[in-house]
Amino acid sequence: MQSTESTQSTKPGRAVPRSRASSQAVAIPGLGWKIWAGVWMAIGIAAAFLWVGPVVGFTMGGHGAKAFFFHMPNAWLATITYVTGAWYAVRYLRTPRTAGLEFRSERNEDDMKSAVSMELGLLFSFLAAVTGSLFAKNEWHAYWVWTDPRMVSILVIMLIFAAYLVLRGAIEEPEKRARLTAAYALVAAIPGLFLIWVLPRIVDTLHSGPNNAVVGGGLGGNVRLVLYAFIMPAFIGLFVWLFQLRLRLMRLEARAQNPYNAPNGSLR
Amino acid sequence: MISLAIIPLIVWVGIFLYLLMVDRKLSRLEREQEIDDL
Repeated sequence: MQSTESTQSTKPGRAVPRSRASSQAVAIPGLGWKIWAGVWMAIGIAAAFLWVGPVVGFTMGGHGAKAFFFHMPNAWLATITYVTGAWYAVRYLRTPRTAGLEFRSERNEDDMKSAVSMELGLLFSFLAAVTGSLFAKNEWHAYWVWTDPRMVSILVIMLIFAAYLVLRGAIEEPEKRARLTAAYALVAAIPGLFLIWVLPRIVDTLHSGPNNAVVGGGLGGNVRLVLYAFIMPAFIGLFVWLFQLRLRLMRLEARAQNPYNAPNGSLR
Repeated sequence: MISLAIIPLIVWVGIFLYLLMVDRKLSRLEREQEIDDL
């Protein structure tokens, strides 16, 4: 009788051989809300371009303001990732390490979640910088202005996130890596949040005009409706989805590299 | 405006389908790991 398990040898980087389950259909967890997020985003994009009219004071006949729909959510999510990265870092550092045991899975989770937050922070801050540059080209005829504090601050924010990833990649020992990167994530939140929220409000930047339009209600009801009712919730759904995907991948990698760590943290 | 809307819509649909594909692949790998643990 033919073996039900594949006779393929273990591939490089794969700790366990392929089993028969790989040929069976598997359910995607949370498929319902993921489809909702996809549809909501599509509706928001269509509404942003086809329903929202021009906004007075912006270029391209007022349609230059449409960049807000994609720039603002990315900037907001970059902020959220600073907070979540620091939050899980605190949880990790506060959990005492029990002497004599391997790297426990419960603390692993907080470390991984902090790392995922910082990775996504780099992604969203990069997207915020790109969308902001496109807006800047339309409004102020330059993709990048080195004398503008806001633009330089987004670059510094990206470098802070990137430095976290470099630090994480440079340390091999898991416990030391988790501890040092957790400390970094916690400390990095302070300048990060300052650069995002405080600096633009204490110095005059090119960003001040659009910022005042958003805060002062100058964008108009249609823009706010599409942004806050469709685009922002869809982006938050996207963030949660990306977070979940990256975390699941990290768990798989951790298990594959160290099969003696059972899911509940005990040794096998 | 319609032509401007089509580009981001196509990009978003592509991203969405790609994420679904990755999600399904991850689910399969997790299932394999669970079965191998048993």
